[in-house]
Amino acid sequence: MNLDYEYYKTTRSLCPGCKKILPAKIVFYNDSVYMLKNCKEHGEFFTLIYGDRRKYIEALKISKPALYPLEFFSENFNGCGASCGLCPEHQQHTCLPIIEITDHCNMSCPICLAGNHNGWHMPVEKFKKIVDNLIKAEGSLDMINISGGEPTLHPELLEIVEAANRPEILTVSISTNGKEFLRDKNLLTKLIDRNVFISLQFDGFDDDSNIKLRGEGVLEEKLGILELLEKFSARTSLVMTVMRGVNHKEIGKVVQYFLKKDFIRSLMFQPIVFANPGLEYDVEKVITIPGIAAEIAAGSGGIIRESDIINLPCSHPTCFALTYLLKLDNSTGGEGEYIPIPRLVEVEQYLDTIKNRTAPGLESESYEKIKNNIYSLWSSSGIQPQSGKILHSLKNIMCEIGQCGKDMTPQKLFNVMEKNIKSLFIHHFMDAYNFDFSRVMKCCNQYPLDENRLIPCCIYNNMERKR
Amino acid sequence: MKKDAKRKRDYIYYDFTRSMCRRCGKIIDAQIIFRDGKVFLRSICPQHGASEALIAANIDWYLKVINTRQATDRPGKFSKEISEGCPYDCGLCTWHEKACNLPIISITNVCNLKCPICFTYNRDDPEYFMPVEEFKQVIDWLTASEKSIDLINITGGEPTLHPELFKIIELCRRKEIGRVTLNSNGLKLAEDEDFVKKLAGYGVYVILSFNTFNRDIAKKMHGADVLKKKLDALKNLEKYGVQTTLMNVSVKDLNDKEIGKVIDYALKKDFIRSVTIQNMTYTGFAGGRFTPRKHLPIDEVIDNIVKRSATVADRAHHTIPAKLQNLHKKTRFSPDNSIEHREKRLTHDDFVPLPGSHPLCYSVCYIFRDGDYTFPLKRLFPGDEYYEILGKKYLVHPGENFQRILSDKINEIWARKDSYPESERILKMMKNMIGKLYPTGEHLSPFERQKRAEKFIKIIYIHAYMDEDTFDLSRVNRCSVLVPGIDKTYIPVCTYNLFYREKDKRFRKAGERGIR
Ligand code: SF4
Ligand code: SF4
Ligand code: SF4
Ligand SMILES: [Zn+2]
Ligand SMILES: [Zn+2]
Repeated sequence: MNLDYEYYKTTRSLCPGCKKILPAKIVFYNDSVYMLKNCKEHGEFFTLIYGDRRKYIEALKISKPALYPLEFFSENFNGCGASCGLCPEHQQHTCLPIIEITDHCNMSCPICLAGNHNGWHMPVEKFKKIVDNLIKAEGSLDMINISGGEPTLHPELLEIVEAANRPEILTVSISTNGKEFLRDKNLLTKLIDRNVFISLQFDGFDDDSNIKLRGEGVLEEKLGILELLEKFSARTSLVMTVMRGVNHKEIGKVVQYFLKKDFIRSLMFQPIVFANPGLEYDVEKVITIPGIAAEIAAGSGGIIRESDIINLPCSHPTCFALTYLLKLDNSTGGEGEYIPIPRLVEVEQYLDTIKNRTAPGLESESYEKIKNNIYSLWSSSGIQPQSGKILHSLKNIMCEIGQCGKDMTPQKLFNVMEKNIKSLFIHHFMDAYNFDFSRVMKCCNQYPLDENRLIPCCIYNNMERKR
Repeated sequence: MKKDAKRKRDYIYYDFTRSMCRRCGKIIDAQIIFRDGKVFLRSICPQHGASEALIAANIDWYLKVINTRQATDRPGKFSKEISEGCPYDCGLCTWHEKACNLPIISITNVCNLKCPICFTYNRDDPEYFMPVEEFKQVIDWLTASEKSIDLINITGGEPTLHPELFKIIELCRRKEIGRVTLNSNGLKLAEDEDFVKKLAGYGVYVILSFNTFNRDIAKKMHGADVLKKKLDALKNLEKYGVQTTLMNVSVKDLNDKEIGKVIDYALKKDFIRSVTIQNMTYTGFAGGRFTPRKHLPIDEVIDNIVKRSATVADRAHHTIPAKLQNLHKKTRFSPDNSIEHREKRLTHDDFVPLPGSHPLCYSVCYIFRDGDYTFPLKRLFPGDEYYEILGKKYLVHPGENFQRILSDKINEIWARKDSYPESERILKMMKNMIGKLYPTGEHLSPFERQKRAEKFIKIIYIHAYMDEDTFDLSRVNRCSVLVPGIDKTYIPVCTYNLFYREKDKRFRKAGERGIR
């Protein structure tokens, strides 16, 4: 490699060709962060892993102590990647388990990282066992995600959702392309009745890019599905996969839409992952967290700044970045306005609040913190130009919390916070090109496999998944 | 609301790297972790469990140095392709990131001391003296492959015991080579004045191992009562004006708190060019057995220096009331917290990572010195110019840049005298320096100018070699302290010590296994 890069450190990665573990260097080049590695057979790889050197360095610094799970399913550490898991050296508990209940799908997206074979549905009994084991490992869970394949194709989906309906589990979400909702109008209401959170795959308002990413022009269908979701006030999350040069210019529009629609509670961006063997790696198409944050800021009409989007200290900080938006009081009429919470509270306290959690306000400690923050905000005036409005909305939150009084359950608190707060995430899954063991070791998103194995998604996708 | 039952780890995972297991010697996964404000390397062997070694005493220092912008200085030539992966491809393989700064050639394993702190190879069964012809082969390929070599370091064992030492030194007198530095424990230098005189005649620089002014501590560190000899050696070196570096192995809770005194001594003496502090490294035949094994990271050494060295700025000018003068003298080497004294001491900010080296390997502090006057260079050049002055190598390279930087600074001080303490004295020093380094009408070779510059600059190096507990693959591929072999290879000292030495046939009996 003859480029004049600056060496930073050494880690381990994978060969995109043979998937063998390789030593890798993290280097700086053109003020971005690259990974350099060399396979005897497949040659040299120089891949962009983070679009901004300074932000990368700063992100690494915010790491916080991990929580232990209640139980490790793997007793011995045999080298990272060979002992999942979780093994005792893993640096985070399972914050969000992703359970793939089927490998059937009604689409065949060129960018799919699952590799579906349309041959298998998870038996309900097995799902129950998995949930039992999750509870053994975690005690309680804020959220579990049901995924696939396309989970709505599972013939016993409702039984599965019901099996997850347990006091230890706050919320169940389903990742879906939504097509089944158009076909079977009752499915959606049944899920809503069961309090399920809908994570809808939505890649923007441009059908050309949909064709490139999804293999078909799905816009019309998506708009129909969104209409349904809105009509039934489904608790909805949009998940947008972003490929540079294909749909990254759609980010702004999606953010605007998200801010306008009350039923959409959260918005998730996922940079493109080159895991599908049919998808050729192209560095021009790579986008990383800073690139997406910049598009969000540019497209949000001044509401969100890049600095409001903060890396998550409980996962590896370069895996996730996020912000929470507080809804301003709109009793005076007009559309709801939002303000990013990091601007309301000291960043340090904010980090404390979100660490080890994917939704704010779920444990008494952070609940106390939010309350304190709100109180301190109350007593100081003029922090923000629209501070009158902020006070109103905060007062409303306080009233709602107050009404609930002593019998405040996590579920109720969650609902209150959820109504007034939107969340916006960026989750950068890895492919073999940017794979970094320093990240997986702190992974908080795991697939529960068989009866008792929890495996970090990126390890599974890159090292074990059969395609 | 139910309290969260999950327990928090008592440390923060910061990074992932690869290290080694002290027990089985295998390369294994490791974490860089933060606990109680400190930084540890946590090596996790599947067979032998996890072990932790202190690598920085302060998280803020660690994050600052690890993220300091680094000069790129890749090797011009490689002798191997990547094959087994670092550290098994030495070298240099194409994975290596740093050109040679400092070639180290061990010409013997014989020694007249058996220091318990020794972490170079000091088993002298079988005895080995490098044949002159072999040394020549090494020098030949070195000079053929490197455009210019600032210095060749000759070490051992105790190299002064090599019967043909001067033939070896003679071989290094080539136009491509700036100088020879010779390591010594000083016994020979103390006993044989003529030998020292001869070294002076050859222009050899001596690196004298000097750890303490305390006789008992010297006994503990060297296994013999050597303090008097060390002082005699210094006397002889001073007498013949041999340019000398004090090499101080700093052992926690043994001699580490004495470092201020050693530096103060070095700053006063014309013949002493620099002080190299080597953090005790628990490897090798003796060092591997040394107990207790307490790792002393670079920032803790800096802390020791900052707390205990005396004044580094103007002594003549500085205003201590007359009646305190005596007291001041008395407490010269002991901690003194009076304001004026503290400001004039070295501070943490006077030290920076040696450009191009890994920040956990090397830290350096330059101090301007003109006669009795000393001033830390970093305070005059707080910005990027400092790194320009330092360059990418081990020694200063005062080229045209340096002249420009100095002149600019002179103009700046001239214009804003009030914002510089002791501006008159600094100006005088810098003008004096420019006059000597860039004399009008006289041509100086780069090596000659380098030598003159060194008269004005004292350097404190802190060099933390790695042992089985601190070994980190992130560091070693950036190593610039290399062992050149007869086979035209370079092996970084730390991989040499930990992976190659035990296979070096010159030093071992047939069939003998590695010592770990
Ligand atoms: S990813 Fe986590 S669970 Fe898997 S081997 Fe590494 S540390 Fe253990
Ligand atoms: S799934 Fe991958 S990208 Fe996400 S947190 Fe885990 S390691 Fe990081
Ligand atoms: S230390 Fe350097 S030369 Fe040796 S294997 Fe590692 S990168 Fe190659
Ligand atoms: Zn390969
Ligand atoms: Zn071991």
